[in-house]
Amino acid sequence: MVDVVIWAGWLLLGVAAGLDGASFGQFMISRPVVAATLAGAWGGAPQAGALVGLLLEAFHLRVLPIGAARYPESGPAAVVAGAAIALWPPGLPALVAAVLVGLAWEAVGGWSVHRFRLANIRRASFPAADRLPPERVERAHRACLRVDAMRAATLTLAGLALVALAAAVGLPRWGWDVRLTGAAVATTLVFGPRWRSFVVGMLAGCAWWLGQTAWNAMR
Amino acid sequence: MERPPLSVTTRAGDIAAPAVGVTTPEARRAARCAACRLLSLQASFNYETLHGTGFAYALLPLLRYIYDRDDDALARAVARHAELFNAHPYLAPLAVGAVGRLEAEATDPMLIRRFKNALRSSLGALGDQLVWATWRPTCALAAVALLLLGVPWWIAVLAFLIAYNVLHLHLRVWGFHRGLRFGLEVARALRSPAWDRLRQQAAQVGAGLAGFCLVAAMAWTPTWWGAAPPVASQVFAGAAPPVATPVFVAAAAVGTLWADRSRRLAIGLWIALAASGFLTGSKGG
Repeated sequence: MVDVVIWAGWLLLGVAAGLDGASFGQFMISRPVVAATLAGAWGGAPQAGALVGLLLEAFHLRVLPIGAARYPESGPAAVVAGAAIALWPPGLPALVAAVLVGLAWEAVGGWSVHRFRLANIRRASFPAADRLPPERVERAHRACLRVDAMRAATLTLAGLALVALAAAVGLPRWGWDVRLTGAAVATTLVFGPRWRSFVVGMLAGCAWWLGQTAWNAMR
Repeated sequence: MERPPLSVTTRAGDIAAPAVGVTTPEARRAARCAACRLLSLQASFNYETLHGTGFAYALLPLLRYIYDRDDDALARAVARHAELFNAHPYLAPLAVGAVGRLEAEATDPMLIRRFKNALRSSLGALGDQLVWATWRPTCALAAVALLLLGVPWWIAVLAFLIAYNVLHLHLRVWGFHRGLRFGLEVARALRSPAWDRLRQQAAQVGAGLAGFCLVAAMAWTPTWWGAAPPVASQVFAGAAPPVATPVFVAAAAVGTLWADRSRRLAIGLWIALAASGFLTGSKGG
């Protein structure tokens, strides 16, 4: 019974995040740092969910949903990744696999949004009408909202099924190389504009760390 | 109860009196309904008319109020507004409000069409720069910084949602009221230097947060300095996380946020390298 409630909660969260992405509100429940954290929390691992959300957020920061651009969809994917880290045994492989599942599902979500918008041309595009009954516009618009909710639900359910399957068959054991990360930091430092503010932030971080270290030493 | 017949010009006063905005309870209800419908502006987004159908859907309560008994005029107005439209979703209320006022004033449809065309690119550019490219990543970085500081997860999430939505909801409400109030003169509201100032300041705060995140992420690694905060301990169940984890978070955040178009190649390269590290690399740390 508890499992059903948890899975239903993930499904609802996936639908809410899917709709929040573009169709309704855009209150940013769909951001990875929010959706993955909430999904992890709902599954009993809020902090692990937060870590997955943090990693996915890093990938998603630069995504700009401008005009008719195609972009990865973060909401349902982050819910699936948050659920994965809650379902899988704790450890680095689970973390890496959850992030990878999240990234892959973002791409699938982006593709489904693209298909949905293509279908909307048939469903709700009236470019050259002379007269248009208002009820027709309302029906078409609400139908799009319903279809998008179903799309998000299907995407979340399929992702959750994959996650459950992965839990059943065991997780791959992947790691990463720290040198790549070093290259990433170096690239960032070399190429990043607004470097003065960046350095000020680093100094503030150093101050915070030194203060914490001193405080711990005194205790 | 049957409503008294009102001329279009009288209804213009109801919809958008210059001094006090929407006046009668009916007009207020129509305006509220339109504002609520704007939340789902993008539901019918498609590659042909973009926000067109959503725009007409959101404007409908105002159009119904204005063309109370004239079904034919209403159908023609709906068709006009279901044409191609695109703007930032948080600033579209400005256009809907302004067009509502112009319709109430029985403005020439061609003028309204030209006005919408002129407005949409400015609203798109302002919203994309202010919200998508600056405010949203800055708020997200603030949440990341809070998580790295070991603040409880729900505080970080709540802080992000509140901080982000303060500007989001303000833009929607402000835009709709300004649109209704100024109509054709709405460009005045967009000319304010306050938006650019806010964008610049938020970008600086974001850069500072990114720098802070980098150091906080490194300090967060228990193998380097002291004990791990709860976020790490739950995931790794007592084992030390690799150095790569937190550093990668910060690096990816900073890199993706502060790379402009000419630097996409470098950023793409290191994301690809990092991804290949996910798949093939040895354990870090």
